[in-house]
Amino acid sequence: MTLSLLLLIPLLGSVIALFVPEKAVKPLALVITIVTLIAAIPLLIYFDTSISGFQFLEERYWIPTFGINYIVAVDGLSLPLVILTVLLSLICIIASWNIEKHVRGYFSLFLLLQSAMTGVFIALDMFLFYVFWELMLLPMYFLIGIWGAPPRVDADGRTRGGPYAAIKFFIYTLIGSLLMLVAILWLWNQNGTFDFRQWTDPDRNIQFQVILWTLFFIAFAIKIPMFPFHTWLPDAHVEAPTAVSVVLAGVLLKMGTYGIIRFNYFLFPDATVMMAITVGVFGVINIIYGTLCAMAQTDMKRLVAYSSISHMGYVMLGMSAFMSVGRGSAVYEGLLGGTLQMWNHGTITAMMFLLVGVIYDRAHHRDITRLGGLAITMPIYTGFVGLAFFASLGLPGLSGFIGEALVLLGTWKAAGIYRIFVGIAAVGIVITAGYHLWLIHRAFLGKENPECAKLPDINLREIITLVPLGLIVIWIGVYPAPALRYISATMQSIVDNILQAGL
Amino acid sequence: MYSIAFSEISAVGGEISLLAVAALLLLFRPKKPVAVLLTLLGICAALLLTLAPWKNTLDVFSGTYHSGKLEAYLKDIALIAGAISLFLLKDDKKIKLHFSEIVSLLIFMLCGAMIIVSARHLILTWLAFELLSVPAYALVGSIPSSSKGTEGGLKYAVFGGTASATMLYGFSLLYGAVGSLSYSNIQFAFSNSEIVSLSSPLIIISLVMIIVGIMFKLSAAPFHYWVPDALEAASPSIAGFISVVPKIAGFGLLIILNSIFYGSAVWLSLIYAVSILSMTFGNLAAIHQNNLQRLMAYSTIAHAGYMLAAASLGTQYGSFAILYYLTVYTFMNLGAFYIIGLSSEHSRIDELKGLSARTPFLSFCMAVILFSLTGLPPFGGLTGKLFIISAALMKEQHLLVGVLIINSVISLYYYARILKAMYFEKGEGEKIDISPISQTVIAGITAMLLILGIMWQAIGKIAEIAAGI
Repeated sequence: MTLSLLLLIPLLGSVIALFVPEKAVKPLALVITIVTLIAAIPLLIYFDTSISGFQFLEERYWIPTFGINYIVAVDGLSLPLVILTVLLSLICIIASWNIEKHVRGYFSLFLLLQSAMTGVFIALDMFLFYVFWELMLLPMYFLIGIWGAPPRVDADGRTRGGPYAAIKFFIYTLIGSLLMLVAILWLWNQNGTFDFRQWTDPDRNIQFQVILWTLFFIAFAIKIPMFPFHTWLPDAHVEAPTAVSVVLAGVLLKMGTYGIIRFNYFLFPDATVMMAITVGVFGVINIIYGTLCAMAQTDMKRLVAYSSISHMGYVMLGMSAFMSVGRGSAVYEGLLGGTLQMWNHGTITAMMFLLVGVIYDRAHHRDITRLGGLAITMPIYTGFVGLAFFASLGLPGLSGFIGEALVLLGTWKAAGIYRIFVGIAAVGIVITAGYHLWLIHRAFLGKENPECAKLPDINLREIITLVPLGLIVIWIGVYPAPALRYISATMQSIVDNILQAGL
Repeated sequence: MYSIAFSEISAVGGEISLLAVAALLLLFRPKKPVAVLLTLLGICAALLLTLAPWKNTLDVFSGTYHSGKLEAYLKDIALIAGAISLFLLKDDKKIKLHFSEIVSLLIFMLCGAMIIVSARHLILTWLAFELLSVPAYALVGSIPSSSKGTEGGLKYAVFGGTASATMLYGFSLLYGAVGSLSYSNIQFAFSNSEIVSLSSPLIIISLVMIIVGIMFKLSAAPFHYWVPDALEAASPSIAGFISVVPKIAGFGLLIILNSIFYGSAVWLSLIYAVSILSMTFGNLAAIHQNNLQRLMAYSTIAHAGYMLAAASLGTQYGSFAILYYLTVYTFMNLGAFYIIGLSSEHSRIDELKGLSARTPFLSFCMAVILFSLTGLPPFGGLTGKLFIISAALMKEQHLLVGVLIINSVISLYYYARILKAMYFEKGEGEKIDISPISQTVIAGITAMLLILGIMWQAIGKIAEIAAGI
């Protein structure tokens, strides 16, 4: 029942929010998200870390004649992401306190979004999964379109603004999800059920595997977003309101990598072995491409958006390195690091978007060239920026380092061509450090820019949103063992499963 | 002498009750509320009477008329569509003709649709086809002093006349080849290669001509030229009805004829080609429309294409997919036209600007309908597409699935234009007063789309039985 509660409480809240007086909407949303967070705590307590399979399993009939059932459960892969969703939703509600436009609609959609995001991570029935996967698009479309930046045309004559970014995001994702729908229906026709655990077939023809693998992969790659499907991301981030950017980067991007590990790796082990290096190559491209683009940005939010692309590249690289080339023995560190990196990226990028939101609320622009010397005017703010940015660039002692180090360790162990990937990724790390430091240098250090001399420092509400994330970042950076314990059993079984069934 | 038994009457009970209502309306020309009540009673009676053959199939009038589960299913969707249209028609201020006359035309069309799906004799089919078409021409031209209405009506009439003449010619050629007009004899002839050779030019030409006639009714490309003009010219209440009921009849006929002609490669591949053309053309042409009724007209062309995709498979599962999609389509399209009729004077997209601020109820329901039209969960449109795609995958028609997928993405773009106007743009205009009846009907349609998307077990089962699975 615990998992269903995580779905139902926000869903109920989103309906109630439409009918309460406008003043009560924000407290209501806060209460709903806090209750959901409390409801999620038993998951952490009663989760058996020694079991690799699904736990908290719930199965109910839904449309049995068509093989559709309500099946939800978590394992070591989805548990961190569920917790991340619940936590970030609460933080986003606090961060959205200054929303004044159509308050009811905003918070109702946000709670609906929370419910759909949780659903994506816990659904085991593919029909249920698809429903949540698409359901997530509807609130997202309106949140970016209505509460995002107003429509305008930029200096180069390109259309910008919330409505444009919203439809771009929608169309990109829809293309992918329809391809995935074809694959889902294909497998459904063969098996007569939507329960993906019954879709495994050791004798499945390899060509057929590769086709289905690709259909799923494109859908998830668009979400990650993997180069060359990434162009929706900078637009969506820049035009979206702060809280929406936070869930977009913090949770939605993880769905791509989650989906690949959950479905591609589990259902098509042969194809996965075949395509592993391709995934790794795209991961490396993402790392380098993302960092180079971030280097060139003057808009702070766009910079953070591109850094997301780069960081998701590490996840892809890590998860592609599950087997050592030539010897065929298992490598666990890559997948472990990739999953941890998902969580770390979720918390760190959330912090970064919140921080960008803080400066945008005060200066009403995010242009790095028009900032300067913020360390003098906003010292506390600068402190948080330092924490988030250093975590993002991979400073030892903060969480970003652990994830990246594990990824690179695993990739190195995978040997062969993966060692070259490590080399390129290392170059990426240097550039990553470069653009982070350069941003701090330009915006926070140096001479005070008169334009932003009178900006007030960060307020209590904003500090409340940042502190929990900051603590997590430090804690995992110093003592990652508890976090790793939750995920390691599942990661091992995923790798073993591929190697047993694989070529 | 041939005498009519009671069972034969009960097979046409629904049609008789509707015609009785039409006769009463035309004889006494009652006032609006009375006419609405009377028509509703007639439709309700017809709904119940058409369900009678659900238990045992009736084959009456020397085998020329057949009432079974499939027929009952199709008739009932058409009747529900009629009832919904009636509510919108009631509040339509654009139509100046006497209400009873308009409604009786509507009833005649319903009767035509019902007879088409039950007819098992080509002459009866053709007569019913005309009964379905002729009132439609008049209905499209029913806004007086509007040159558009006259043009639309006339265009519809000329195209319709040509199409039904073509079909009649096809029937006569088929008669020449087979020597009978009754479906059962034709079916027998087609299953015996000694009587009829499927590759003979006579058969091929006749099948092509019959397809042309049906595709015209289904508003499929390239026989769609009347659709945008007619649906733009008609008042939204009429446009909704015309975009739905002839399709129900046409697809019913197609399902029945499929069970006879499925062996012919020409038949299925023609439907296949028309399906791909309709989907692609309808969706591409809809992108740049600024008139909502025109946009919806192109969208119906595209949706006809989706359903034709299932029809081109010639399988029973394909028939089931059509039946299910038709149900969803009926609610989506009528709902869309209902809301267009209520919320805009001239059916321009601009008029919907800021609707969410003015009338959140309408814009919310419209959003649900648009999402359903695109095929997004948790609404019925997705389930409908799911069945079509899975039917196509069963027959390994991967190209068809690919085209359908690409088209779904394109369709999002123009449906989102309406969403954008409603939610993202500011507009001036007054709050729209909606009568409680309209509110109930629209809420009902929205709820129905949700039910068809989440809890379709019962309806899916009924459609499966109707399709004979």
